Amino acid sequence: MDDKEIIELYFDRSEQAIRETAERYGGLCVSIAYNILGSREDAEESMNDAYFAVWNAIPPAKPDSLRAFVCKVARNMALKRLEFNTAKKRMPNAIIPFAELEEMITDGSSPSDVSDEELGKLIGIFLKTQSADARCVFVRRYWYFDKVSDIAKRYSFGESKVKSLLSRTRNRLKKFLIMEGYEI
Amino acid sequence: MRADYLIKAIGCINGALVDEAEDYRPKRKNRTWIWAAASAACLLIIVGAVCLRSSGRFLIAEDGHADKHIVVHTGGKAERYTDYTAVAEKGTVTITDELKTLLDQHKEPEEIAPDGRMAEVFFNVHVYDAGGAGADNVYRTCLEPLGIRYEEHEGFSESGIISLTREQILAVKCPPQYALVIEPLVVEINEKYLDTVGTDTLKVRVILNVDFEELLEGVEVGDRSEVIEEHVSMLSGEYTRDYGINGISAEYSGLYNASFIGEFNVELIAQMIADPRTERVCIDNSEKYK
Repeated sequence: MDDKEIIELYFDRSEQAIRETAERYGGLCVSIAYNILGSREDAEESMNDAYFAVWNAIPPAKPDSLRAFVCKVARNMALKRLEFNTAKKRMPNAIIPFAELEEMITDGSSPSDVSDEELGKLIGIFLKTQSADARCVFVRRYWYFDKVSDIAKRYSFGESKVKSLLSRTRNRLKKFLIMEGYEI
Repeated sequence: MRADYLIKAIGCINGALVDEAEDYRPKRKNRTWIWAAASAACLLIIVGAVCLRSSGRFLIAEDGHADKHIVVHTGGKAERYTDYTAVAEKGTVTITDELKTLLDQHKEPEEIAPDGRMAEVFFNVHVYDAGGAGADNVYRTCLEPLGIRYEEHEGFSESGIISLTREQILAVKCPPQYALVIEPLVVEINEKYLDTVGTDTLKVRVILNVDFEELLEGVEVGDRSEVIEEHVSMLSGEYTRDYGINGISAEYSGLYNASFIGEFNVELIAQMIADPRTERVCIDNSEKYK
């Protein structure tokens, strides 16, 4: 069954939609959640919330890419759970690379007048100006939260190349955001 | 701005970017291409020198290959020394093991040139008769019938070097009076080869390991030559100083090639082969024909 047919199932309010989604993208989503939470149990539990959220979102949403949509929901759910775990001090294995991003941040505040979507759109525009290697490595690291070693393996790069691409892309993103008027 | 805010914002990038990172398969780090381009430059220099000396013209092929993007592979690997002159038989075309390996590796013209054009795969080879018949005779008898021609063919007569496709190499016929040998122009060597070579010194081309892709990332096109020259100069200076071979500096050919030629002690060459700064060490067969 392809994505279009699965989306139609959601529109028909058929619960088979969730089963098909889980079969098709469950593994990928769990791996993203696991990268964020560092716990298989937490990752699988967060996926239940994610499927429920997808069920509630489609319709009215009709995503161009079901995979990206479901993965994004799974990512958001896992991040929420991470916040909860952090508050409860339950995050022994979380491997989310905050420290790397903190390197490019000088101001610890959170801008109140800019939405996540707006800034995300801008980051997307920036990424499109980068080489495919740099862009995909960046997305794997900070969207999928893959380990550097896993990215290197996935793309057949050396780990040093992955680190170098990440470092350069972060620096360029920082300059880009400053030029766009963002105080980071 | 806080890192967690940035993480959330990155989560809002376009889904197409997310899909791309999942599906992306980097173009194979095409060292073959880089190597081919470098080798093509070497060939052009060598053939050019020969041709210019004789006729002032370059080799072209009859079907207009000169107008296309020519890619030439010359990196056959050698683990042992074979005197093909001694094993070649009359009436037979001997394609050396190194060349056979190359031909197997490049059965399809799959290499994509950096500008996106499909590249035609050519191989820089020597074609010669082990019995000593002149290259001019070899050309007229074996190559010309395949539709291969020089605008002026004296270049081949002097060097024995020609650029052929896989199909052309496999189509070469050997008349009964000749014992033809076809071998790659440049043969990469390793330590096993050094064990069998039987001489104290060898004249080799040492190609330095430069990650041009990384070096040139984000560098404006107009600044690239300067960046490469500076890097190659620094790298070769450091390399040659370490081996006490001052006075030799690497050349930057303009086609992603940083290399130098010299006659060195076999033990020193073994050290160079093991050095991670070395991309490869090659026997430059073109020297035999000069």
